[in-house]
Amino acid sequence: MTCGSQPLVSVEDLHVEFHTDAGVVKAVDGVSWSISPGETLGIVGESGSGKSVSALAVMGLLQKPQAKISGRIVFRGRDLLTAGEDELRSLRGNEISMIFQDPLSALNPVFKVGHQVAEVIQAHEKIGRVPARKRAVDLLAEVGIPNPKQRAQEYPHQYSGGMRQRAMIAMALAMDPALLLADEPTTALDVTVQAQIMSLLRKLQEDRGTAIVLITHDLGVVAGHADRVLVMYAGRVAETAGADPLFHAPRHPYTLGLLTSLARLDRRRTDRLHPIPGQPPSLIRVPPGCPFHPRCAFATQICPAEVPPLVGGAAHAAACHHQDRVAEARAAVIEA
Amino acid sequence: MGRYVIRRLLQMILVLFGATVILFVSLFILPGDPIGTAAGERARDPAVRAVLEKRYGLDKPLPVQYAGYVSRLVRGDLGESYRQRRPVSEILRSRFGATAQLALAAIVFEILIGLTAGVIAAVFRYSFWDVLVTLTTTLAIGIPTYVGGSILQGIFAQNFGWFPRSGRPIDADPFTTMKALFLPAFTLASVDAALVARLMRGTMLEVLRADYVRTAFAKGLSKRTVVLKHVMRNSVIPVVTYLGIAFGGLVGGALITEQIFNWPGIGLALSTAIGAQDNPIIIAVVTYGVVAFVIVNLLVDLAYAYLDPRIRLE
Amino acid sequence: MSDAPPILDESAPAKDAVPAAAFGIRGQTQFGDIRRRFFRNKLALLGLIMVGIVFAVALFAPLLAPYDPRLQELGNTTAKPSGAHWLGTDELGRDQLSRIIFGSRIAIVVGLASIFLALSLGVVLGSIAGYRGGKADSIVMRIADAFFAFPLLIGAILIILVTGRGVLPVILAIGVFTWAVPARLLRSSILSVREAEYVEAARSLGASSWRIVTRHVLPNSLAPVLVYGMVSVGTAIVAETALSFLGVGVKPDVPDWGNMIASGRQYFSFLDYLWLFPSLAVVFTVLGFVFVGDGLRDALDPRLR
Repeated sequence: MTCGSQPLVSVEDLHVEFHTDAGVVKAVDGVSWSISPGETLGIVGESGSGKSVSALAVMGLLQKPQAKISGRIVFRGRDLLTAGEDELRSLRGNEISMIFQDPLSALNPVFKVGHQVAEVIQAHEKIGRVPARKRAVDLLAEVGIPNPKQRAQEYPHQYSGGMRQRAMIAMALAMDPALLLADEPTTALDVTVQAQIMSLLRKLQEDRGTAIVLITHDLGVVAGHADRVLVMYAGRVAETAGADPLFHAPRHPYTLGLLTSLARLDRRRTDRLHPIPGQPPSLIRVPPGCPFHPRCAFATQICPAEVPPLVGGAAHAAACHHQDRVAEARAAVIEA
Repeated sequence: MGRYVIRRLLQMILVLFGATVILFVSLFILPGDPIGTAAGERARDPAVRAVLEKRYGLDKPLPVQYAGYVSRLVRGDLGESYRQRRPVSEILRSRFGATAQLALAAIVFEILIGLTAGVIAAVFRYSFWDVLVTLTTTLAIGIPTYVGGSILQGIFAQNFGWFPRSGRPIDADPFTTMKALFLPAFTLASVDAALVARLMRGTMLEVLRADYVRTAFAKGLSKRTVVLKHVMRNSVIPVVTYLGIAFGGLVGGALITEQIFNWPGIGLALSTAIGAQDNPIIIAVVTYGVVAFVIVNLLVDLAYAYLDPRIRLE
Repeated sequence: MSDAPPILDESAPAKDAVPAAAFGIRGQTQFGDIRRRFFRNKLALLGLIMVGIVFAVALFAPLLAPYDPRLQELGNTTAKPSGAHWLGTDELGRDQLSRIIFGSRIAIVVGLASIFLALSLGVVLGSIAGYRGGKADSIVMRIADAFFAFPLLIGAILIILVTGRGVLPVILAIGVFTWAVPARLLRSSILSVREAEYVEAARSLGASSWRIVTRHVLPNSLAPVLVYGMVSVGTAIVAETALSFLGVGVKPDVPDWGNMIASGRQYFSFLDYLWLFPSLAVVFTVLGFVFVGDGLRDALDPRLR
């Protein structure tokens, strides 16, 4: 699926800091990733890992005075971080779109759904109200909303959760963007609806060749739908790899911990679950050196002292000083 | 929407019922001598007493008295003013226009000044304008109307002579009328305009943080569109509700303003009546003020339902 | 060959693991937060001082006033401010300064008492409506709507008409026509808290309704009501003076700011000091309460700043 020669978006050494009363929050601390046309990149992490913030940075939606951003975000040759507001606005909703976690609060309650979808089209194309509305109805049909003509005249609170998310997807894909950023698109939905939404996204991606950045904390979603995966922890990249290599041969203790902590159908019911001990750190007081070391079973003296660089190679890299020990442990687990 | 209107209408009737019961109880049951309340000092005249006793049917059972009271209200029979020897309804009708004029002008001020100030303060948060708005609104709220009005009168009418000090011109051209109307309307509007500005600012700040505003930006809409369309539409809702409630304050505030500027409206009639202990007028104004308020509230609720479709399902 | 991966043995912490305390995580109570924010707000502090001054003046009035406020010096009426009478005398020769000082007592007493009445009524009725819901809710809310329908001044006039002028009628009048707002505030507060999960948790642990209301629901819903109360003392004082100004407040001879402004207005533009000084007293007091109220509101919900 990776037709990747030139990456579509390349995030290079992104730093995002928020200056608050309580201290400086390092939401994103030196993160780099890239995505090629038509590819699906999964960004995985717990809440507070900085995954949403990096997406908002791509869209230019972070409030300037409070957020200090540095680094480069290159989209089709342009550095978005130096682009003017007008240029960014012509990209948003048009070439780069975003959908958010809670579709009920993400849709304006006082405007009809059809109107909100048509609004995207009218913002980027010189088109009359009637043809825009017709295209909106077609889009609603394409995302699987029954009775689209009637539904377009309704308000968001009259839709079910799954339908609202479909409407959001319709809004996001209305102008056929090259990149879709999906921030926890299924978290607020029931499990069965989750599956429907994810397959809808896959179908739309096949039809249009859209690249999707899938941001989630749910490994299951990533396993089924991502080509490559980026694991984030405390604002930094812990590991990046193709989906299969990541799940079968993780190199970072955090990834390993995530995978082994999953409840599995093929284990005995009476087995205890093994969560990762401890809590994710506050982004104001990130632990020195490797941020994961307080919770890591493989940590040694070097871990709090030196920040581990991302080592491995373009295909599979991890930021850990002890990848060899992780490999050993992995072998032991597989034997078990 | 239609069903909602009918429901609200029925509720309004209930509220009116409740209000008239309260009035009835206060005027006829609570005081030891209802005729004393109704007629003021004229109650000592036995002839007057006899007439009133017959009118109010004080020997009849309470529900009958209440029915009589309500029917008199509906017919507009408010009794006679003893001071002026004229039917009260006639007195009030002649004054109504002046007060309506004043109230309308005040509402226009409130909306224009309040909304604009609130929007500016929210959009340019923390800037000089925001601070200015916050300071002026605080002053406007803290300074009571009778003080503020007197001061405005003193400075702009007395000292600068820009506006007439008091009184309402009769049959004058629009320009003269507006000049005379300006200070009283502004005074009347000031407290509410300040509250509207604050409410608008607060609501807009909250709305600006909402998820759907982020979505609107993510769709590539310009800041102007987002603020003027998405944010405003949602922010205006509590303000509309407030304006409905503020109408009640206008009724009370008109009392003071009309007295300060000698504006011949219902409020001035009321305060003169208070001084003269001319109770029929007092009772009449109080009653109709309440009825007007309930009706205005209904209209506000309907406007609210139109603006916020979620309410219609309640 | 156990099923548990040997590496994730929780009993053996990683070597050199850093304890949580090193991250400097202090326990911060919510109340401490609020207090801290309030005291950092200079305007709120100023308001607190202003209110404190008015309270002190009211409390120590007999000690502070140079003359008896009711003492009439008929040979010295409408005297301009002088060494003997710092703020002059009124048309009956009474010392303005003393009358203003004693006027603070009425203002404070009426302001606090009427709002206390309004809040008590409002909290009780609002909690019944909010927590019980259903029929009780509808009934209470309809009654509140009916009281809402009365503009304060008009309603107060109605009551004073029936009872006559005086301090108690004014307190009653203001309280009776103000309770509807805190009731409604509390009710909507309770409605949102009631469905919160921690209430459900308490209920499932077997807590009685009473306990749930007092321990969980009320503390979390009272905040907006308290803020409203604080700001309302200011508006209650304005209402009281407005009622006196119109002639339906406290009895005419009582040293009250509204009374003084009303009688002082007769001399508008040539003896302005007669109405100007009591006006300044009112403005000073009300602004103090407004600053404190605003400060409270910002401290409780700083995002709105």
